[in-house]
Amino acid sequence: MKKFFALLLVLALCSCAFADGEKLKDTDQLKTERLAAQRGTVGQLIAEDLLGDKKAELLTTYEKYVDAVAALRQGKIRAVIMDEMPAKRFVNEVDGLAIMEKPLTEESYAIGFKKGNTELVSQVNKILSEMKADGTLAAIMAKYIDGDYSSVKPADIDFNKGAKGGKLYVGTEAGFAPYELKIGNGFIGIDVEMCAHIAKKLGKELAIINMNFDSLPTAVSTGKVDMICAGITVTDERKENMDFSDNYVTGAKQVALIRADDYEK
Amino acid sequence: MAVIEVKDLRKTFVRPDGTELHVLNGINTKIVKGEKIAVIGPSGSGKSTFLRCLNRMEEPTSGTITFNGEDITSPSCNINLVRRKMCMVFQHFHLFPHLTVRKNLTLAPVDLKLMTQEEADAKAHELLSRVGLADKIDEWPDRLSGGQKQRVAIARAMAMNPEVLLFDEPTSALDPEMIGEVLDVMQELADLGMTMYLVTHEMGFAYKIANRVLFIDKGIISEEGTPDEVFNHPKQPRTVEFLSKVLRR
Amino acid sequence: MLWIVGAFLLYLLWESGFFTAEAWSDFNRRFYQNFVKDDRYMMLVDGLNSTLFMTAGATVIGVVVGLILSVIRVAYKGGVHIPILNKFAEMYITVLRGTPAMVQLLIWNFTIFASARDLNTQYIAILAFGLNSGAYVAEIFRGGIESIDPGQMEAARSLGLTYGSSMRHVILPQALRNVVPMLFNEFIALLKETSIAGYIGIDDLTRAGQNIQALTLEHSQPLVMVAIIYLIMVMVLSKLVKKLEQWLSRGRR
Repeated sequence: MKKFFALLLVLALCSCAFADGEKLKDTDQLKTERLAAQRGTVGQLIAEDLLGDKKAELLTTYEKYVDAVAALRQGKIRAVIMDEMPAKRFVNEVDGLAIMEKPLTEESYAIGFKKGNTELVSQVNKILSEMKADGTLAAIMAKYIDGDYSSVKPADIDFNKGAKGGKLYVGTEAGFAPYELKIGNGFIGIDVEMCAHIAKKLGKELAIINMNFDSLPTAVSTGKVDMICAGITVTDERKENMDFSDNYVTGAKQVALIRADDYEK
Repeated sequence: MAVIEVKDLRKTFVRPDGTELHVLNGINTKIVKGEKIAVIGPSGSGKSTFLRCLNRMEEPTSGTITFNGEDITSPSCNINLVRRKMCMVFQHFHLFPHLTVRKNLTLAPVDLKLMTQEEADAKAHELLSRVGLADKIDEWPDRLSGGQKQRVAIARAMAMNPEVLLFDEPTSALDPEMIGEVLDVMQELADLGMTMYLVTHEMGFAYKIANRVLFIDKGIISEEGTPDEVFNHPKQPRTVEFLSKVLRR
Repeated sequence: MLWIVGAFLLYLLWESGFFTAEAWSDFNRRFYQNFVKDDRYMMLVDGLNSTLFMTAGATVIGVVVGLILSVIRVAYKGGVHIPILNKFAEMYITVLRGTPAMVQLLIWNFTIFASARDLNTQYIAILAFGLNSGAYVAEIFRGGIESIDPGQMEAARSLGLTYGSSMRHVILPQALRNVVPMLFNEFIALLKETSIAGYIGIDDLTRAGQNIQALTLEHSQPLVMVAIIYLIMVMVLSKLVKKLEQWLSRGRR
């Protein structure tokens, strides 16, 4: 009985403990802090770079952003390293969060393919450059980034159902708004609409395969999907294992999402 | 002609530690149609093993057993066909607890396509009447007393229309007051001319029912003869010693 | 003891403002966001459907595979020697019980069925879970068969029945009756185990909760709701097992 209360006391003390210490001002401070990232994302790579040989001790990777942010709010970690777009969404929707102003890096997004699938890569590159030239891509982006995309319905996106050319299988992780998000039985997002357009140009039906982010490289290299499109950053290491299309997003900032009360601007 | 003829039957068990246990050391005997043979002997003498070798519940190590002239120890023999004609009654009955008494009796004849279900049902009814349990035909085995179970087990063996019945200490697991009802059933079968091997500790019953008594000791038949010869005028000292122990009361 | 702890927890909740009107309206608002708005509860319903479908399918495969494997193993001991089959069964059970179900699921999806893209992923999951469960069911059945008095087999064989007939008519029905409760517990475990299907992109109940999390960015409510649904199912099934056990032991002394 006494032990039990002692345990409760210790727990209560622990939950107060994290509030101590100086607040975050500069991203350099992150080098010695507990950080989190979604497993397999470029955020993880950046966090690893920041922490250096302390990464084993200080870095926690989560399967989902929601989990990482929950850990952040509970004080288990001090910052989540992630893309600016989804981070902004968290700040808007969840109380008590902030983004450190200075971005950590700027990245480019591209579509990933199985190594050596040059035919599909060049086809997709051609379609992408057309989309960039005629403003299709910009229109899609505008719909999500500048506007309120809560009005976008999965049914509005043309998956080119029943196309004669078969299916274009695209792997993604639909927890990365505004790029991809699962709503009810369907999907919306920049990547989804872009892939729908690509599929249509290829004369195929778009089939979205929703999986965990760290499963995507496996899925594309084993041929489970034709390509993967999930706000994927091009890195040298990834280039060794798969081929990439041209970038369709550049200057995508990687930022640190932290608690608002932990931030001293 | 002999129904069963046993020549130089030997059985050796190999213990887990590799040592050998010689249970049967050369048994020679035969049984003719209608004969009732009682097998007696001290525990561990090999008498049950001998009986279980007859229908190859135990595989003999060497020697031959012929049944109606067929060598049933040869690999080409279909032992399942032999067992239909040489049924066994066990010490612990081994009724099938998930089947009713009726199903216990009809399972084998119907599964082996020897009878239709109707024929087997009629046969079951007839046999159960004979053992005095016609009213238990739709009862579950667990609801029967030990004596009733053994009578059902005998009826189950009889349902195969066997030529030979093997009884492996059929009354040893019974409460004393139930032994009589089982022996009565066996006596009736004997009177009907059934060929029987009976391993038993019921010396009085063996004396009454058997044509011939085998005294097995240390894996061989050490003495054999009519009940009168073996029980009243034993020649071997081991037989005398054994009988003096079991007949003391 | 329990009362004191409960009172203490209530006090803590009271202190933290859980029972204030704001907290209650916040709870309601989040509940609306997570489950009511745009019929989001349907995501959970669809997920539940998928979970039940996979569990049912895997159960069928598990029972069939388990039965076959256990009979092979028992028959080998019982004198029907088919070394290749027995070796296979042994290896099957060792490998599938010796590796995590999660790893097996990933291998089935990304290695063995890598090129089967038009196949509904749920079928791959059913196969993976079913074959995995089969290894456990095999051991349950084997235990059940070996718990049957050897005299039962002897009695059946002594009547001239073949080994197969004896198995089918005498041993298995009795073994089955003994193992039904354990089998049901295995399937309750299976129901919970399907929660890893999200890793190969199946929107089962757990994953549906995660999808709602990604939509609303709310962490606790969807997960707690998912947990409650699992708990209710498991409690109902456990109750059924109890009833079944009583029913099976009827008419026995």
